[in-house]
Amino acid sequence: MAERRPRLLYLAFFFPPSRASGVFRARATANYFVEQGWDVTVLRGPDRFFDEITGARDDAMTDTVDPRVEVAAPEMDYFRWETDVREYGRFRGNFPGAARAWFNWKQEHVFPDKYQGWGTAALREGLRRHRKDPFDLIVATGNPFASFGSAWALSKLMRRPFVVDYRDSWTLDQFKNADMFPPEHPAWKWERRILRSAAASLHVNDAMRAWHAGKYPEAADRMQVVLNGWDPDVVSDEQSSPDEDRPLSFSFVGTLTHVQPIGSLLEAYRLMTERGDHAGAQLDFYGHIGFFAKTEADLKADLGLDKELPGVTVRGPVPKPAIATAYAASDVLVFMTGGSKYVTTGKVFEYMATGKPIVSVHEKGCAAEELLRGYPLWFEPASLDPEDVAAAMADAGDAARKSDPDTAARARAYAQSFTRYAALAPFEQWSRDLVAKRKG
Amino acid sequence: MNVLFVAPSGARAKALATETRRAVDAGHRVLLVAEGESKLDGHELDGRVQTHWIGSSRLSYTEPRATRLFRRRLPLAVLRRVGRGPLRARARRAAKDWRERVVAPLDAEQKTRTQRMRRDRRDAVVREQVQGWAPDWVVLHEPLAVEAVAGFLPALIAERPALRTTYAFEELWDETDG
Repeated sequence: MAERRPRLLYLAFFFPPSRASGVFRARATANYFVEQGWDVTVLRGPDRFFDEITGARDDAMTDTVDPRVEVAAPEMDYFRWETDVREYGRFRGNFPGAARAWFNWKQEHVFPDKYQGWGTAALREGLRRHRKDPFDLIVATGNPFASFGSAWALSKLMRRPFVVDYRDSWTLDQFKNADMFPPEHPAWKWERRILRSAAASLHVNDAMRAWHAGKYPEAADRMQVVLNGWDPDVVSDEQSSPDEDRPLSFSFVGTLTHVQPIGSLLEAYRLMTERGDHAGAQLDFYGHIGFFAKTEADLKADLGLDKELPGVTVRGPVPKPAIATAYAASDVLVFMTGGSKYVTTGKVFEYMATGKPIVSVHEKGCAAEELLRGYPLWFEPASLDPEDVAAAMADAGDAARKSDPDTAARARAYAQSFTRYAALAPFEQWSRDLVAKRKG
Repeated sequence: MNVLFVAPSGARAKALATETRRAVDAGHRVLLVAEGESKLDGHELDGRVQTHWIGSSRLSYTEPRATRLFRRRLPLAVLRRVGRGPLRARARRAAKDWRERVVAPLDAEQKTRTQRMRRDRRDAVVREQVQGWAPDWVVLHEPLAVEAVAGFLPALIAERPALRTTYAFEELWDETDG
């Protein structure tokens, strides 16, 4: 008789067709586990959330999920997102104050996350599926952190181990390096409770792991680092060298948000071109502005990209299969992040995989620096001062013009060790051992 | 974001003051459309909140002079005049009947017309502000606000699907999610 495949229940609210930035890690996890012989069931957010609430849907992403992955989308309540009073239910429509008090009570006394309604539905769906065909392991990725609560509850009810994957931090404000909640907030109690019971917790870099280990020493020995990585289906390893006559293209590829120092970049670009370094160079932005389509126009204005700037082009979102084209059209990649020692971002791996010069535009001490340090085509400005950034951009432009094939090959070889699957392999092996040990 | 608070009666003055302050603190432009400042006594609004007072309570329906004279004053004055001596009791009964049958309906009509005038004024002002100020978010702060916008808001939402409508100013979503 064939051996039963280990079964994984994966709670990942942001999963294709969502195009949120966290989707890639979730997609890679599901695909990798399936490829390694697991039966994977993913519980994701409902379609309405991605269609109407965030407006951030990319159906091309769904095609990149292994067809063997079983996906279900439990429903949720939209209390925090409903922006049309006509859509309110009978209770909220007639007693808005009482409805809000009830919602707040649940936040305080049940689970402190606005996605709690989804968490409850995922719990029910997980239990229903477990009764039909038992799972061996539960993995939850946050945000939203309601998935952690559901994984904890499922683990208690199903008597199965669970793992929490901190794609983002819950109680740490990564950008301000400060606590996210006041000391009396129930999130602290829940995080301690979850980490005490979890078989493991995964963190995207060592600084995050260390912060959590410091806060929860009782769980420190079960904390692992699973780096983000780059997806081979997204980045082509073909190398193109810039045509001598063509002006250079400096590109930012990714989602623009409030936390990135875009003012410094725009000013540096202006200084560089005014000085005559790389005359005619273009600055291109590929990607969405903000995670939610509804707020895109406001954010664009806030970032100063609503008006025409010479040489600057907002090229807008690029479908995932076409991202390689955007990279191919770029000569220098601008790595801009709101960074702190806790922020790596998945984009840095993709950037490195291209083998092109990368110029950093972020505060010193960003976690990504650790990775970039070994990359031979990294250009780091002395500070975020536009003068320094302009100098680093000019140097990166020179490197792109020089186009040394050996250096580019070394750069790509270095990036090879950072694929998503390479990052996930030790965790998958650990999960397999855990399940095997449990089965005795 | 332009946030418009519609609170015709200012019934929840404390919540109104708090929520408008939170909205301006969050960096929004805030306009409050309410009956008048006196309704918010004791709950000072943040100085950054723009206000537009409806002022409908100053309006009241004025009866035609002929009605006032011939249906209210003159008949009662005549009955008072003749109601002396043996006619006193009958005149008093007749005056009572007149008040019940004629004056009371006149009072009721006057009240109805006044209410209608005030409601029309309220609805016109709210409509003018909602359509003219181009808000991105309309907070219907009390049941009367829903009544005031019921006639035109559905069409406006159909025209501008991004327009938010809620019953309170509250955190809706977090840009960092994802």
